[in-house]
Amino acid sequence: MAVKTIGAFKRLLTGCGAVAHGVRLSDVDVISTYPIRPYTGIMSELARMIADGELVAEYLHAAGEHDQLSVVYGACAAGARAFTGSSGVGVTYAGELYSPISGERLPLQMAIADRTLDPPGDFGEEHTDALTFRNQGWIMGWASTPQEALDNTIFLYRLGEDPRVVLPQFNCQDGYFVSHIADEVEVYDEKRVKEWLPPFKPLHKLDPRAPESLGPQISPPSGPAMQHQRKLAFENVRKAIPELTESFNKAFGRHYANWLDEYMTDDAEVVFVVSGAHALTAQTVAKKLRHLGEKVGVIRLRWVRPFPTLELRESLSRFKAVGVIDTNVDFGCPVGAGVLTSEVRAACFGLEKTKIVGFVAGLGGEVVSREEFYHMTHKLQVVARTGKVEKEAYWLPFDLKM
Amino acid sequence: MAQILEEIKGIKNVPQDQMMVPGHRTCAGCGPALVYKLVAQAAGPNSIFIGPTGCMYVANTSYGCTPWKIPWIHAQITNGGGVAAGIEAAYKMFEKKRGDGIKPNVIVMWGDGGATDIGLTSLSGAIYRNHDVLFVCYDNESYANTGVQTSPTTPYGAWTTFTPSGPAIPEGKVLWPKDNPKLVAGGHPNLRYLATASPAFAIDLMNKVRKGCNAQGPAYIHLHAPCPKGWNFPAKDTIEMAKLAVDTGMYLLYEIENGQMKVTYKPRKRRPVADYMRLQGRFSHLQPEHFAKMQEWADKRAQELGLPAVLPPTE
Amino acid sequence: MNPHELFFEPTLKQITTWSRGVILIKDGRDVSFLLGEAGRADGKYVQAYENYVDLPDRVNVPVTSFARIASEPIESKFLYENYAHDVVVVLEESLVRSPILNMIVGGATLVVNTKRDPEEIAKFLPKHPHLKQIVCVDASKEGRSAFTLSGQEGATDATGIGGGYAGPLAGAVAKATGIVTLAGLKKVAKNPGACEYGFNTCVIADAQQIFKKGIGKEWKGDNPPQTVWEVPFAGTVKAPVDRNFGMVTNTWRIERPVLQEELCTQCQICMLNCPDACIKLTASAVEVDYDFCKGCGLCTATCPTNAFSDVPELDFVS
Repeated sequence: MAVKTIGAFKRLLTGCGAVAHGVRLSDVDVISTYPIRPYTGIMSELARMIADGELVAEYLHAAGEHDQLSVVYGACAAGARAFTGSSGVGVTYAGELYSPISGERLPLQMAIADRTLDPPGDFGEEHTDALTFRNQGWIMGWASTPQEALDNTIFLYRLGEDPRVVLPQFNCQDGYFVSHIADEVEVYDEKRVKEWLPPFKPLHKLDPRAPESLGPQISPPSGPAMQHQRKLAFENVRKAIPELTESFNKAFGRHYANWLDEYMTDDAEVVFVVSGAHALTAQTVAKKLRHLGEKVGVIRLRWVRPFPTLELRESLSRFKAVGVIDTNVDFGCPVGAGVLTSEVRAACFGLEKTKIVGFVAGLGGEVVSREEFYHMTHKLQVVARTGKVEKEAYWLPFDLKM
Repeated sequence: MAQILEEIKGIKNVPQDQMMVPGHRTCAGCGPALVYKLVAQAAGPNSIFIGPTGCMYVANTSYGCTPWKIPWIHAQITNGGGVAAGIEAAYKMFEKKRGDGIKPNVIVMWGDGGATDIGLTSLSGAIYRNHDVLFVCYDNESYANTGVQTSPTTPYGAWTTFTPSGPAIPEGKVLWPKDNPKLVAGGHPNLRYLATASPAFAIDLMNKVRKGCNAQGPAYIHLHAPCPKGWNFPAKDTIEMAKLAVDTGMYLLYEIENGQMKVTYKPRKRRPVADYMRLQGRFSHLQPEHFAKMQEWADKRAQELGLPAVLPPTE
Repeated sequence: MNPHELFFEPTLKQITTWSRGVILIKDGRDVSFLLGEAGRADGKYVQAYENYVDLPDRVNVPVTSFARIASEPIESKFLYENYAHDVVVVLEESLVRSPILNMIVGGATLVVNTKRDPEEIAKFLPKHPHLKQIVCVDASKEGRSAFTLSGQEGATDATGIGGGYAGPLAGAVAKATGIVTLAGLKKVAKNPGACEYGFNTCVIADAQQIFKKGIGKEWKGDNPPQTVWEVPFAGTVKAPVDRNFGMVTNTWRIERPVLQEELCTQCQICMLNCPDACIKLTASAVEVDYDFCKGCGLCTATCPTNAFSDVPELDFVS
């Protein structure tokens, strides 16, 4: 069946639209869908593409998110390139499937447009939905713009399907801020992407011509060896990310950082560590404050799994005060901020000079304003200049009386 | 399914190639293993099997090995339908995009816990979506793999570890079972073929499987699979139990093809349910009033299908 | 000092009971719990548990359970199995075909529920240098197997312990080893008389003396548990050629089906009804794959000409 080629173009696209084009360009075979705000737009866009002949793929209306992930598990096991997605409680409902997909080494992709978990209903975003599953053995990263969302879609298939890796990927973006605000996106020509992203070659699959059994039951003595395979695979992800980022940048004219997207950090006194769209807000504040002689830097994490421990430790060792933005909840966690603060602190353990403060901001999808960054900066400056940490975790707006 | 599997005419024409070979940790006399063997034999090598968690997953693949000569994948107990759907969709795409040419039978072998309970959403969604998949439920009337707990097909009055009998609850199991074939047949207009089958009639079972494979669209087969462990009877009596089930009307054999329902086995004389129940330890705590209730339930279902009235009790 | 010496527990007695899944597992578990409770009644430190890796148990499959009794607090508390066996108890005699003597310690005792005598049992055993005693007791004389699903999978038994075959076997353990006392057993068993019966009627023989007569099989050394360093990619395994050697099941047999070829009409009903696909056509009859046959008896039960008979497995093993 001949597919209608569109060719390259530039236009305003939301994060949802951008991912849909990324999926189209990745020549995905099987898509499973189920509606939940705010990721639904990706799937509606894909449905339109299929109906209009721009994409040839099986499009299955799953009976819920758990069914969605089940479908792509089967499709990928049969040797197909598979795609699915969700948000919020949809992500958690599918929870049972993440470990089987990773452990079965099925390099499928799931787009997550973040949404706060219930209760109560709230369409606004938190990264909690995705972060809850950070230990399931998937590659996980955040796009901060619609362009990056499209680029990550293509990039993650290549990374996940790499024979040294063979792991599934969470392609995350901030719900609403990236998924629904349109920005200029360059959509590449199909051929250019096909050159960079070859067809999926599975290492094991369901095929009557070479029968195998995927997933036999094991007993406890085999446990360590089973799990160790993915530990090694994640070490390979670390090797592959810089390699493939360089290759992607070259092929598509981009400038993505391998691990840390650093902004004005060279001579910064204090820095923020952020993932996703709020990093861009932090960048505008950093730029503004420079005019006032205040040296602030921003480090945007592209990847949360694998966590860039070495790179972050090296980078943060230069600074006296670091503020980590947590747009997620992890009640009762060490220090009382959120997931990223705990992980950054763990990565930086031993850096005596570097004080780390957590800022829980933007919960429920509330805006994280430039004013708030301004005030957070001042808190960090006090830490940097006195060497004293008055408070390890700030919950905005409550602890940041402005 | 691309190839048409021919009807097996008589036992001498049963295919000799085993797709489920010796070497699996299933009970001696295991009803589910027996029907699995028959299903795989009938479906043949151009098949992919999906194995949701249950006895037929754990026992057959313990430990780190497999008795299947056909490709097989583990699924969660919850999602045999979804996984099968994904595999079927993938092969559809391979044909569309690359003209791959092979169209394997895609068959889910689901226990009753999965197919009628925790996996019902997955089953219904896949049938609704019109996938060319054969959904087979091997019904041993309990969540057996976890040590025999009640499922929606556990008969009224059966002892399980979640429905033990005691002075406060003399029957043990109080709830009446779901009728999954009826549920599936009733609400899925695009279901191509549905049948119930039993190892008491193994050739009939295999031919129903072939019809299910040949059907171009979703098919559902519900298999009775007597369980020596869960029902508490000697392993050598598995076939006897299966026969008694259909001869008492405790299990009904029929198929639905092209919208027409056909009873495929009618006992000439229907025996009282007690003849079946008193041979199984899971019913040994029941009193006459419980037997009477079961007889009434069996009579009603048998009447719907036009089976003969029951004989007077043999004791 | 090497770790093995450092962590040796001198007062710990490890009693391993072999049984058959479903049909005898309750009795097997009862032996372990009876000995454990008796040990506790004697003022000892004890543990009793089933082999979790054997669960769920399947009809006929060899299963194990464990009792651990010590005069000092037990240090190796969280293992799946006994790591060395002072006593091995066998609920059903054809289990002697399983590796029951693997890892027994010097001075070990074997107790078997059987009508046969120690020399007959010894025929099936490897001539393990550590085996001191072979003890035979006919537990079936004092009751029937205590089948129930109650108390399995970590639940608490509601039916009492030691009501079936376990009593006589525990009594024999007390007599032959003194690890528990008969008085202790009688305090905790559902059927104290059965314990006493076993204590009084068991036949105890010197294993090494029997082996010296040339009775017994070659001993090929112990197989200690191995660390698993590698598994296949994602655990995926290739389809077998014609049989799955990852799960060989001939040790499941209590009886084996034996064919009288003249009566076989090659109707193939047995082949259809074998859950394990263990029967194949030969030129003039059928043959059973005894490497895998579990002895379920379905072929015997469904053969229309009664060509099969079920014969005790030990009457066949050479």
